[in-house]
Amino acid sequence: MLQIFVVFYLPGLLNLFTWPMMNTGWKWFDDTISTRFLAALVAFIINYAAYFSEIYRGGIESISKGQYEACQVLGLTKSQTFFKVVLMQVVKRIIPPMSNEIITLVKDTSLANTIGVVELMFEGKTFMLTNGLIWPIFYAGAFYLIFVGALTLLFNWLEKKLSYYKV
Amino acid sequence: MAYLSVKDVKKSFGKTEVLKGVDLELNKGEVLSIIGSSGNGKTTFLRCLNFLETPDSGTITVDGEQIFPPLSGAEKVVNSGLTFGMVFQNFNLFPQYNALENVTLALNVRAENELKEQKVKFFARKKLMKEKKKENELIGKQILEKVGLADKMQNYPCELSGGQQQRVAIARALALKPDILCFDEPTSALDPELTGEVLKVIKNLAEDNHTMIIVTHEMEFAKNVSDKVMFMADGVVEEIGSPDEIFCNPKSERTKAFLSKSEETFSEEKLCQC
Repeated sequence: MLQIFVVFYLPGLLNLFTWPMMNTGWKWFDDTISTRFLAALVAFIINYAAYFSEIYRGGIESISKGQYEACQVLGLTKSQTFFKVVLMQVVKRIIPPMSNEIITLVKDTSLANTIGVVELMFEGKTFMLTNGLIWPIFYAGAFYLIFVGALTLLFNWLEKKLSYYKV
Repeated sequence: MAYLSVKDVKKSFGKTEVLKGVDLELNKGEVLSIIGSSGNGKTTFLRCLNFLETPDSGTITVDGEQIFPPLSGAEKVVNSGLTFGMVFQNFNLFPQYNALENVTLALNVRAENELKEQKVKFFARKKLMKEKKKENELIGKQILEKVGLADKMQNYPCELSGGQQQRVAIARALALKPDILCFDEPTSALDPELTGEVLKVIKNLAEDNHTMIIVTHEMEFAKNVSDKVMFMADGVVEEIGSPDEIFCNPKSERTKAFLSKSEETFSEEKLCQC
């Protein structure tokens, strides 16, 4: 959430990007909906890219040295070693942490609410307030549940698919 | 002229000098066993032969061709992986491939590399590879049959016992038809029963006149299978000779001490019936 705030408000606060364009009246993240969305997008991409790269790094480093040695003795080049031997093992290892992270991402989209991006929670809230009904917010919750449930099923299926071997 | 000759190979990790100048001559078709207590450089020596470690100094010559230090750039070192085959202590099979694929992988990769070198275009190469893969599969099947795993070809390493895994590893090393086959304590991760089946395979290979270097703690096996036994201590070759010489009347004090100790702990029957 803090990161979303920073991405959205900091350029304006610092006046870094706004002042050269003062005269034209164009700003980087001005008040329209689309730029709010852009700010949320940038924040999520940077944040999750960091998390995911860490997962990948952990996965690749967890492959034992022996696998590389076996490949070297068999005369595989470095790229062949990676693509033919290491990659599949890495994929298998990173699927559980990756599914966690993706599910968290789905839930985290509600954070974009804080800078006024029209997303699920925002829509639910406005509906609730304008019509005076409580149900829309529950529907929004149900939608999250279904979305996350579907993702869980998908990743379970993937894990099962890859369980024919053990690393 | 010896087939494999190693002269004065030295290797140190940081400040510890592991190999202090190892010399070795081996003829084609001979089986060499390297014995000695742990931490004396046996494995390091084997890894130096395979270029998993780069020796600090010394020369390695195979069949009159110097492979270390490389004569023409780094290329030779990479290629030499095919002169030596290696079987590891902990198998290092590829878990996502089944036994047959484990064996044929290197063959397929080599075939593809050759086609690439001939500058065959991408689609033509894929087409040719299909045929090559079928051929390689046949070769792989033959080799797996040879190590007694005809019925386990489609099984993944996690479904195989330790001994079967090690036999797949041997088959994988054999597939490339290496000139010299190295075993790095092939049985030390296995129980005595499984050890037997692996040793039987190695013995068969020895009868087929494969040149082999075996690092082992199985004294009895070393005595039975090898033409030469080398005792290593403190990074040097303490003694080398025929099994009878080493086991029955070792000249060096250290060899004697080592052998008598291993006799105490391991075997009821004496290694040497003299």
